[in-house]
Amino acid sequence: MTEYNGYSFFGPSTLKELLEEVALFDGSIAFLAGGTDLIIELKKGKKKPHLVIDVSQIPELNGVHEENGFLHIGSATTFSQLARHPLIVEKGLCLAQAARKIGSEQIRNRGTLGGNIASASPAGDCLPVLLVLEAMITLQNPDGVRRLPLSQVLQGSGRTCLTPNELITGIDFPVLDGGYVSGFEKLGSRTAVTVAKLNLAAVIKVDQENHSITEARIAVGALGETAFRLPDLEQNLVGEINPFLLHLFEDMLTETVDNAISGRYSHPYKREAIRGLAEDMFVNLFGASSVPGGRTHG
Amino acid sequence: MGEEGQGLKYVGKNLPIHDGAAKVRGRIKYTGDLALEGMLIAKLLFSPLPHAKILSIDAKAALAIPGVIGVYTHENTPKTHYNSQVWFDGQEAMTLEDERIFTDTVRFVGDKVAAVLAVDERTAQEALGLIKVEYEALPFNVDPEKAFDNVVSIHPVQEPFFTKEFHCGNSDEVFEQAEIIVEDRVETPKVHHAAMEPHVCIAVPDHNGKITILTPCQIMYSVRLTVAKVLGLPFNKVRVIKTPMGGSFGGKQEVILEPLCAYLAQSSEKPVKLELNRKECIISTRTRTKVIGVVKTAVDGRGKILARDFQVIADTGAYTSNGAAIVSAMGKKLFRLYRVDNQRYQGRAVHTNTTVAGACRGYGTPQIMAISELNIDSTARRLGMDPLEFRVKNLVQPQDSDLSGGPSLGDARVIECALEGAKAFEWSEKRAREPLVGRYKRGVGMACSTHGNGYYGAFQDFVTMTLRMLEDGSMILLSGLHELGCGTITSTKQIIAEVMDMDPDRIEMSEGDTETSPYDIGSQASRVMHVCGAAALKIAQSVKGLFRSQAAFIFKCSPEDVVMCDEMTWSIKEPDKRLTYGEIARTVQRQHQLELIITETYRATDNPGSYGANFVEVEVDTLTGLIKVLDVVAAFDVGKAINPDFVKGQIYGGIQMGVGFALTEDIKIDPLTGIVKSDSFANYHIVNAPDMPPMRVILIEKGENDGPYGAKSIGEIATCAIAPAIVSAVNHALGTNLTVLPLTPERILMGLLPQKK
Amino acid sequence: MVLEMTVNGKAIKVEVNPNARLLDVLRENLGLTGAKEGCSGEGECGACTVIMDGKAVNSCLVLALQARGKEIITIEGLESNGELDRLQQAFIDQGAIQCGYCTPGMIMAAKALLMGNPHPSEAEIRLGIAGNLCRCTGYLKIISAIQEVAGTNLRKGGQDDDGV
Ligand SMILES: Cc1cc2nc3c(=O)[nH]c(=O)nc-3n(C[C@H](O)[C@H](O)[C@H](O)COP(=O)(O)OP(=O)(O)OC[C@H]3O[C@@H](n4cnc5c(N)ncnc54)[C@H](O)[C@@H]3O)c2cc1C
Ligand code: FES
Ligand code: FES
Repeated sequence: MTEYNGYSFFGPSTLKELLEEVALFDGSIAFLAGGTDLIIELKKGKKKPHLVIDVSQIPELNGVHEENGFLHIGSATTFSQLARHPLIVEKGLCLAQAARKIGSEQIRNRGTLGGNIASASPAGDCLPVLLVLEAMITLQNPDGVRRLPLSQVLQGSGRTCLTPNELITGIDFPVLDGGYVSGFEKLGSRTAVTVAKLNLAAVIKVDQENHSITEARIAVGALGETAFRLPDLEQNLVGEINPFLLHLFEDMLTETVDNAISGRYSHPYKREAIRGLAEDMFVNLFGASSVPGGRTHG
Repeated sequence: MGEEGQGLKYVGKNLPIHDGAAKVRGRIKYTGDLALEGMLIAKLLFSPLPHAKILSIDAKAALAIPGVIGVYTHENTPKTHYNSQVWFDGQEAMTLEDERIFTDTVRFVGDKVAAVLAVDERTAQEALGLIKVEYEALPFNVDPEKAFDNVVSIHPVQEPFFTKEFHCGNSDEVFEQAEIIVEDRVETPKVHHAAMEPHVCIAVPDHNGKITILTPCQIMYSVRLTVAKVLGLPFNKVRVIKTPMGGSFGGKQEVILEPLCAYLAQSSEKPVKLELNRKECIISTRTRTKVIGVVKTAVDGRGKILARDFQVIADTGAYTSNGAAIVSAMGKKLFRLYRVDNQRYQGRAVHTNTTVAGACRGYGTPQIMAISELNIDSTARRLGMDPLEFRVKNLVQPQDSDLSGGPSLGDARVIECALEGAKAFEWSEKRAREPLVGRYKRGVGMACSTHGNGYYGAFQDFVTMTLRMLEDGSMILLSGLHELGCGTITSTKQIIAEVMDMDPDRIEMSEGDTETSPYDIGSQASRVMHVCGAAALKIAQSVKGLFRSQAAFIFKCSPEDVVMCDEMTWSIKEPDKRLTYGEIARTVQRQHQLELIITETYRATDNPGSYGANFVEVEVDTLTGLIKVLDVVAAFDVGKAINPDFVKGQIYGGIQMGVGFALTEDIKIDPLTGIVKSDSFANYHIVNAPDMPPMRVILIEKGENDGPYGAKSIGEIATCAIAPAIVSAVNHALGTNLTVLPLTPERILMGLLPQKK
Repeated sequence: MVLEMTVNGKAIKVEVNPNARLLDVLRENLGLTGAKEGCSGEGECGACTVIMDGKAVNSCLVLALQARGKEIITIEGLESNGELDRLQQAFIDQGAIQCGYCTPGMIMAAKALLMGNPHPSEAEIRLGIAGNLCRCTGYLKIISAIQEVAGTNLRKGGQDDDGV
């Protein structure tokens, strides 16, 4: 075992510079974006890279634009940017909602979407969102570029498919047009600045005329190593909107919890609490009248 | 006690805190901001095991690192035993002295094992990782109720190591005959003080063997006492200077870092800084005492309390600290809130292999009030009586006596607090409201409390001050005051300014410095405004008397004829001939070779109760178990608010702590490993701004006591009633009788399960 | 490595370690000890908040070298020509300070909020300082102070009934 002597720092201003350095560098590399996860880990000695490469000042990795029916987001785009970006609010609202609920203003001003993915926390708030948006993640290293669905990128708690010298450069997903509604809900231990005990994202296509759901995508987080989609539930939601839908949604979510974490300390709580998230999600997607008794919350 | 017969100019006014400008400018230097020349940095190694014998410590690799000055362990540091709570010589006889700078047997995860002293933090940190410790694990216990089995022996004493009983009347007999008896078991958690400033201390040796300690402390003479004892130094070779306080709440009341830091400075002959990080503060300093209480109340059918019985266990953690004192303190409060002719309190203290408990805002009162008040609530419920009505029937009244033999309750206006608070809160209307149907339930609850005003009746409680007027008329108060951020200095200036009739800004006050300050027993026991404030008033009156007699000499009139107003003085007979205070001081110096200076000792003469009643409305999300506090009305009998804004500041802050105590804060310890699970602000949640409820404050200011202008304490009582009021509101909302704090969402949902089925 | 940035309007050039955080450089190299470390650099307490390019950041979660070319404002840079910023004055006047340890971070978070949104609602203020913990004040007077500057102080944060 060789002794760890700390890391050096490289702060490129273009992707090209970055890739050149990566190609040349012999040793372990950590990419640093907002630092809201990494700096804590570096300080605690949980990560011991030889080189830290700052991606926070590379314009190509920052920003949101629309192209051919897809929204493209630079990996180093911050939550603050996402929270109010007009394109995200209009065509990927659930992502804006998730970004608004992350951490504090200070965290949102630094923390990035790419960092959220690469950290691959079981409770990462953008992860269920990106799953329901069917986002593709673009990865790049000096040898080339690959574009993978998020579900393939996430490999477990804190684990991704990224190779040691590979970088997330961008995230893209098909825009949600007018026929879709989307939403994000989160349950923590307080109103703001809290890790999710449960989070839930949904994209729903509604046929207003026929009062029915034609497509549903639902994902949950904090119920296992990674966030995941719920295909059975999604299928069951498709069809005519009826008064029992919420109940079905709740029951199937409870069942999801039972399947995911039975025997865990948090199981009895989460199987109940997820019903609250289910209601919140209905209110979010369909308005207060979609839950029994409306919403009396103060 | 106060100046008679005039409108008040400064007392009762909202002056801003004296060091506000320095604080908003970021210029005030807290201890952690100081870097002295040649200062070394110490870092601590903590025990990873809850109970173990240290077999060996190998520091060779650590010592080999350049920049490491030394590694200190139980093998090369003083073996003197002490108790961190002791604040006067002789007090150790009332408790156990079971702490040392470093121990050879670790007793909790977070116990101090070793220190590295190095030229900088980085080196110290690196060396820390290279110390090899070999432990022999011992059986451990983290459960206070199991401590009674005496299976695990933490110290060579039988558990419980301390028992205290208070009683009045004959409760056994009454319980035997009573028809209605309501019993509850209440549990309160270990809580982190969460002062934003972590624990820190700097010790500086001089060339004559004196050690100066810079520390944000609450009782400098307690620091001096223990450091002198451990280092074997005479008192005058230990100088303790109280530095700006970045929050304490009792957490920095005990002597935790100072003996070690002083020893390191002594042995290295260099200034040494010792600063903990947040995790270390949580796991290894002090906590609020965990308490478990079983309480029984016997009532008659009309709601008169006939008898009460309390069986209380205090978990003081791995070292005794204030384990004995807090058991007594809790018991005493019970005889000062309700009129109960037959009452027994039995408190017992035990050790567990957990973080050491100590003073924490309220000194046991929040815990004992939670136990008492939740049971008052369930008793009212059993009687089908409104809890307000039930309380008002039984609460103490002004000038009641303490049936356990303590000092008179004084002008105890808790009924007024309850009634005024209820009116502002619209208690009856809210209580009578139809319950909400559906997911969100609302409820209202209330609780009362009392707390003390110093040590009168228990220990010596006195303070010496020196007040002088300088040649320009400005003044200096020399005292051992400890400003903790509550506004002590400004309030004291207001008192002196009121007496002297001068601008408070023209009065300067040093804080505690054992070399220059007269004796003071420190900022503890809710004594500062009531006792030290009275001392300031008295000494100001004395200086005023001296001033007047001297001015009378100059004006050639009688002292009664001397008028003092806004730093101008004259004889009532010759209003045109006016002199400034400074001119008097100068003339007195020139003509009489006299300084306008007085040193006086003030002894506390009473210990009335402060009182409060808190009203709370909550909304409970029955699906997620999350609780939102919607409204708080807090009424307090403070005698007189010297500075109402400060008083409210204490109440708002006390409520912030109390909401956490009720809902989120809990130093959770893994029973399998003894490890603290909530060891950072990421998983130990104190209430942040979005979750703070609106708060309305009502102050009852009738002032009938010996405090300055009738002032009584507020800082501690501010956090004593809010938690049970919240829990009571939740129980009202849900129809439950939850009594284990904090009411986490998990506990709420589990509490609701029986109803759902 | 050499770090160049602007701190409180002044161009700064300092030699820093790669692992130094912005907080370390401000406190240790530049002697700006207003920013505090209250949670051991975990982003949870906000005591270290400074403004970087107009946004509030936790200086404990920014590597110093990430601040290259940035404009930093710390609590020490808020006053101009000896005159306190309105927020600083409001904190004093409203009694928003007790021990003062959270104050620099709190004021910087509030300042950044007001720079982006001059008239925030009370809810926006509460969220704007959600990342700043205070153990002393219960936040209400802090909220009042921010409202005073925002001109949205329709009612005092602590709506007292006692008429004081
Ligand atoms: C107080 C606080 C509150 C928080 N609250 C939340 C919350 O509510 N919800 C939530 O989901 N998270 C939360 N987090 C976690 C954190 O903010 C997020 O995970 C954030 O998305 C991390 O992004 P970053 O840019 O700061 O990542 P960094 O810390 O810079 O990096 C995180 C990891 O990702 C890697 N990485 C970063 N960028 C790239 C890239 N482009 N390519 C490859 N690898 C990369 C890094 O090497 C590192 O391993 C919180 C953190 C804190 C400190
Ligand atoms: S020290 Fe930076 S947020 Fe606490
Ligand atoms: S004033 Fe003390 S922490 Fe805020």
